Amino acid sequence: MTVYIYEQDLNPMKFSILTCPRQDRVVRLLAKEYGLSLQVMRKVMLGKLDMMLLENLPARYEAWRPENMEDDVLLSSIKPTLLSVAIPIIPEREMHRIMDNARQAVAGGLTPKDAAEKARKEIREVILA
Amino acid sequence: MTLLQKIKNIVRSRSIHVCYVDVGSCNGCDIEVLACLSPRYDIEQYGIVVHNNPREADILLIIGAFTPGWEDKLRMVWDRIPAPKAAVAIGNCPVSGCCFNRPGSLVDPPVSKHIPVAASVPGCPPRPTEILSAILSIAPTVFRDYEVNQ
Amino acid sequence: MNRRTVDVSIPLGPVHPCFKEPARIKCETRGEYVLSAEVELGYMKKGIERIMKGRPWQEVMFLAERVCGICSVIHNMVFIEAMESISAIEVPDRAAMLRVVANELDRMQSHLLANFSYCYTIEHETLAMYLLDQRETVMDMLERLTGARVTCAYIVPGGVRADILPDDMNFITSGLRELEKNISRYMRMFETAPLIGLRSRSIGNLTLEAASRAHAVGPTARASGINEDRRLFHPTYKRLCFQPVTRKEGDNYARIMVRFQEVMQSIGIIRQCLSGLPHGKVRGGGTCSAGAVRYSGEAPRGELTYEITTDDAGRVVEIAIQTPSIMNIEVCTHDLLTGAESIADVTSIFVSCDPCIACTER
Repeated sequence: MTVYIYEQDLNPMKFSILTCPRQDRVVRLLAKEYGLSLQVMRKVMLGKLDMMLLENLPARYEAWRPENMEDDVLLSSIKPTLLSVAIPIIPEREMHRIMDNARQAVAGGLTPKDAAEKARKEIREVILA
Repeated sequence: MTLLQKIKNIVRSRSIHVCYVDVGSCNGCDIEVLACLSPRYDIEQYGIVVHNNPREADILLIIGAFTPGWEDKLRMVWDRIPAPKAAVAIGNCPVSGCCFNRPGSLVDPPVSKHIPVAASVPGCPPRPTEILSAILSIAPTVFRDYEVNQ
Repeated sequence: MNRRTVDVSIPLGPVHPCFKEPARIKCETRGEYVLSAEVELGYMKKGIERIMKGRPWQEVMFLAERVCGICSVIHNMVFIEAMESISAIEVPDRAAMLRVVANELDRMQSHLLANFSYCYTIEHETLAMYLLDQRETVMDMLERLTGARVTCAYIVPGGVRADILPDDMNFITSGLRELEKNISRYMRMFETAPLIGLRSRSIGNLTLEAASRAHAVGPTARASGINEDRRLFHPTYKRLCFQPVTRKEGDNYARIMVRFQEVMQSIGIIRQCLSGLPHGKVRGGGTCSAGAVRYSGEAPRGELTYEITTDDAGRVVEIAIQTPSIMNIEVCTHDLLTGAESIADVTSIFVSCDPCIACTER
């Protein structure tokens, strides 16, 4: 294990940023949206985002706009750009893979709703991996 | 007093290097320290140079009410400064924590718990002239005949 | 697993000659090229939002000012106007105009300070000192108007604390004349100097897409062509026919020039306010009551948002503050510093976004 001389443990400070009122609201929303528990969502965010992104979480969430998603059930229920671009928890490559799988499933005869449910399960797996 | 000491006294009184460290304030005091640099107050005519480099500083200006991030770092900055050295607390925050010292906040004032503070300039924020006169009045008392007094 | 070659990881700060406030930037470099940058916070976290909870507005008003010492007037203004919109308190016309004067003076000194820091960072000390000297003139005007240089608590619910005296009015008008002459000269110096151009033009390019994705605000966003300014929605500014300054380049040079142009614009706004200052009282009075509101105003660095919930006695039950520096520093580290051509540009790019760590961490 590498030992740094000048580095300190940032997790307490990150946690206090994450539990500020605005950030807390966004984390709760996301946790509910993707069916994860609040504690798990917090842990994932502490691990994958740096301090500046954590501070900017609410603004990025508000700046994220659902682009032409209204007519596409698949897009509007998975919200791929939310977790890959606006709040980068999942690499974009992975997200594309999940979306492609879901589209293939729909083409293979699955209803969009079921395909979306399957994709969410995959997203959960990627997040927790 | 030796001749060497006399020369040291003269040189030290005309060359004071300052480093400022913000340990968690509203940065109102920071900009008042910066305002001292402006041609109106002209801090350099007194031989004071703001370098913001601890290794060549004589006086450390401390601003702010000590946040957890500085727990080990302030001591490190203080140890980097070569002797003779003095710390001056600027504003109310390092003295009492000002309005931030309330239950539930993260600050841990006063700063004198963590490093020795030689003088303080209260005010929220103090005027640039007050900061200037504090540096000018603390410097001779600390640096004059330093080797003799050791 | 993608691997990358990192030559050396360079930490800048927390005590750094170029930064006014403590922040730590960790840059991973390959040669001169910056592979990734990360800002480490935690040196200024005081937990103001936690202290504010459950306190009466009379106390929170002073705490709100101390979120940031550089732009204290706008924090005061946004908090008080949020309280006014909760409690439906009317502001007399004269007071509304004086608020704009105080706010624009504050914006001028903040922009001059930001441009000073930038010039100081690129080692153009002459221009930096000129600008800092002009800032002192603005601070004098602010002191004549409000009674204090920093954290002046000038704006109170239902008006402003004190009326402007004829003497002070003359002082400000004559000061503005002097200021306009000098600032336009310094602006020309900055605009035409070849060496400044070499260190500023097409360095730290911020694209429109990156700016809107991270919700960049203020001069940082307006330099990239985003026409966004909260002053467009403010009733007093609407009466003054305000139009924001924008530029297209999106580099360091554009960000500094936007600030220069906004200083000139502020001079115009203050003149307009003072010449058309209506007569009447400056304090209307009123009682703060229960309610909840989300209120935004334009700070010198961009959009500042307060979300406040109060109870019947005017106590603040819940409060959340979103300061402009959060968005600007975030976009600066992840889009400008990451991929910077040279490690030597890191400080100048960071300072050109006018970072305010005290705002960011609160």
